[in-house]
Amino acid sequence: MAHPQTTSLRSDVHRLLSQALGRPVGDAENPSRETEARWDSFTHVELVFLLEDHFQLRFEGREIAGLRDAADIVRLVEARLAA
Amino acid sequence: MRHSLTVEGHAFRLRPVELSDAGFIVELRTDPLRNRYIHRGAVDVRAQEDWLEEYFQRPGDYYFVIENRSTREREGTVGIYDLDLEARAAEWGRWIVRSGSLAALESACLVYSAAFDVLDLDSVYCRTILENKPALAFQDSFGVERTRLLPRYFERNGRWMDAVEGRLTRARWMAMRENTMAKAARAAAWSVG
Repeated sequence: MAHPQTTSLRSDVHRLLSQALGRPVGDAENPSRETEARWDSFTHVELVFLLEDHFQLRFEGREIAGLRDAADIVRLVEARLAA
Repeated sequence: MRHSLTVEGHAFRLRPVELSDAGFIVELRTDPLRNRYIHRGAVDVRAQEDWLEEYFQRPGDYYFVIENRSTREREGTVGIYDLDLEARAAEWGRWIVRSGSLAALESACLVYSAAFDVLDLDSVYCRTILENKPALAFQDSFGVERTRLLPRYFERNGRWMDAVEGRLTRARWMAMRENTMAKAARAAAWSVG
C-alpha cells in the first residue's frame, strides 16, 4: 500500500498535470510525454513552473529533461523533498 | 548565405552556422529520434559541407546554430529562409534540438526576435508535418495560428505526408512577446552551467 504522504504528493502532481495538459488526469493514470499529444516542450516548461511553485523547489536541467511521465515526476519530487 | 547575425538570449544564442558545424549537423540530422520528419539531406560530413558551401552563396537564407551561452555547447540548429522582401515574410525551420536539451522555447523566441526585430519582417510561417504531433503541439502552445493544410507536402521513403502551415504576425508576437520571453528567461536557469 502506498504511503499516505506519497498518495497526497501523487494527487498534487496529477492535479498540476491536469492543469498543464488541460484535461483531468485520474489517480490511476500515468500520462507520459510519449502518449500525451499536448505534453510538448512548451507545456513541459509550464508544468515544471507549476511544480516548482507548488512544491517550493528549484529543479536542475538534467532532472527536467529526464522527466518522461507522471511517475518520474512523483519520484523526483519525493526525492527532492526528502533531501 | 554567409551572415553575421547573432541573437543573444538568456541561456542560448543563435549564431551563424560555420563550415566546421557540418559534423554536428549530420549528427543531429541522422539521430533516429529526431529525423523522422525532416528531409533526408546530407548523410555524411563531406556532403553536409558541400550543402553548406551552396547555402553560403544563397541570398535570403539565415542558418543558425543554437548554442548554450555558458557552456558554448551546440544544442541544435534553426533557420530563417525564403525571405520575401516584398511581402516582408519568411519561413522558419530546420529546427532540430538535440535530445535532452531545453533550448526549444528560448530558441523559438530568438527566431521571432531575429525575424521581427532584426530582419524587420511582418510575418513568419513554419510548416510542420501533421504526424509530427510534438512539434505541432509546440506551435499550438506557443500561440502560432494554423493557417492552412498542405496536402502531400513531404515525402519520406515513398510515403507522402500532409503538413500544417502556421503563421505568426508581428502584431501577434508583440502581444505575446513579454509573457513568452519571461517564461524563457525563467527556464534559462535550468540550462546555465
